[in-house]
Amino acid sequence: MIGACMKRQVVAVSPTTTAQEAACIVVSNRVGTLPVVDELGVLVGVVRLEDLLQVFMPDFVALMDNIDFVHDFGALETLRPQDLLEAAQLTMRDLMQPPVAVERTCGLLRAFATMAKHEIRDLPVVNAAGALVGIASRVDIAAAFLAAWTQTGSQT
Amino acid sequence: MTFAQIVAASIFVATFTMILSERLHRTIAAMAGATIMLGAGMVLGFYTQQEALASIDFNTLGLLLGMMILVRMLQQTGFFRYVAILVAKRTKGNPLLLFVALGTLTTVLSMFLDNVTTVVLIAPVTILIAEILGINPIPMLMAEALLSDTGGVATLVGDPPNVIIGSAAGFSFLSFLTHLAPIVVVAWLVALSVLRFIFRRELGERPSNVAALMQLDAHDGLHDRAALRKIMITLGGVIVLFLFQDILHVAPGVIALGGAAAALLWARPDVEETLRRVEWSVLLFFGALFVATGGLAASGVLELIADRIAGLAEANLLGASLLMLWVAAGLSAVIDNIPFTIAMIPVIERLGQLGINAVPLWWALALGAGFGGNGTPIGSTANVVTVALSEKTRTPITTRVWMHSGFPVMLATCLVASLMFILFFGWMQTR
Repeated sequence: MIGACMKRQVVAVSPTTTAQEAACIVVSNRVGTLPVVDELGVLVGVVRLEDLLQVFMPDFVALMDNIDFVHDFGALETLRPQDLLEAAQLTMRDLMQPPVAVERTCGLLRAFATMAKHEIRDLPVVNAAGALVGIASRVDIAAAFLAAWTQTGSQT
Repeated sequence: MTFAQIVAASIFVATFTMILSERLHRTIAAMAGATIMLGAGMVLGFYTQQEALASIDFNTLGLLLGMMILVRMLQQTGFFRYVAILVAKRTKGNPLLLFVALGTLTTVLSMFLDNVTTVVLIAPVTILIAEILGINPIPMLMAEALLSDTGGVATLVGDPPNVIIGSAAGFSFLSFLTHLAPIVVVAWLVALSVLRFIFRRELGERPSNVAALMQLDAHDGLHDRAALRKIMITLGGVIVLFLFQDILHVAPGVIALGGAAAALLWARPDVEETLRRVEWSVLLFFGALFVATGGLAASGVLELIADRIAGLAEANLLGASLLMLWVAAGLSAVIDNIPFTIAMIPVIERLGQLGINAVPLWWALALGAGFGGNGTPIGSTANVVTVALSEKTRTPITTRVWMHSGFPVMLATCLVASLMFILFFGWMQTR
């Protein structure tokens, strides 16, 4: 069950957190997913790194099916002043995606499959009221699942 | 007007209104109109199933389908991206040269290939290059959208109205090249000059990161070099056959479909995938419009209209041609030019039957329908897709931008076409 392997200390943000505050949280905590909770602790959205970096991403990345021939992004690698101005206006409410979450009792394989289907890397865990109680990464879940295998392996 | 004619005209007007209102997909509207027209024709006795089938121009459909298959195969090889990068690198990042080079590349490609495909595939590369160089992409994007419509006027296969006109009037590929291509060359030059003046500030920007542009690897953008070579050779063969069409007496639709068959046989792409990308809804739209317009023609309404304007065309053929050019241009700027062209076919054919030399009218229709589309952001599909693409970027093309650049280009190119029409009117009366 995912309840056994999830992290209970979750770095969460509120819908009014600004993009720059979120950037600070990502840099200092080294987390890749920011669950967004309201004042009651209910999970209302999720901000992924992709969402946070969207403002800085060049336009052509979304327009082309293949960018393998672009060997150098040139000046696009540096933070552009106009993009920083635009990003300063944004809060988590603008960037967040609808949450994908499971409850504590969710099986490990189901949890991993849910993440794969939704192309997310961290899975928030909520209680019956929808309040955030934990979060598990792909590695947390996969390691917990594979641990059972290594134990059976040592027995035979 | 008889009762049957009033019914046919009402069905036709209702169909056109539905198509142009865009409240219903145009293919659905056209199919519904065609069905109702045929049903009414059978009940009232002005239109039979045999006549409906005969009114579909299968040469037009074959030519469009054949060229669509060839373009889809070409697209899958990464060809468009490849040439755009090659051309862009030659300019060494100079905005003015880039503007001229990418605009001209679009003109040349859309002379032989579908305008929309050309723009859809060149525009993202343009946005990429402009972003890397830190320059404004709008002048290049406008040049591409406007010149794809302009270039398309030059040949029989360049854009759908030309395909329809060539098929109905029996004009060959070579006669399009000798009559319209010279006008297009002048229009291309004028369009570039007008845009160069309008965007003089943007085009004077200094590009940064030219080194990053030179790092783009065109060959990495190419998926299938061997297939590209085979398709280009086939396409070259198709164009050569088009040029000898008068001697060979083979319909262009047959040449294009034969070329598509040869390319499929030789390059062996994933045929299901290639055919899935063919715009079947466009072909169905054409077929249904032919049936609906055929019903109107069979009822005799279009003959009535033709008889009315025959007097004017007889008295002043040049004036009638110029009127045709500007009316076609004005309408194409605000509505889809395909239904308009299809509706004009029986009218001009009737004028020919009345002993009027219809040849200059056909040329005027092709020029007006082609150049007129540049007038507004909704004037042609190429415009619509360019605007839609730019809206996903930091520099969207607004209607205001379009009216300040596209509209003057439309006026300038139509003026050029009119002037050349007057100067070479003798030549424009020949096929």
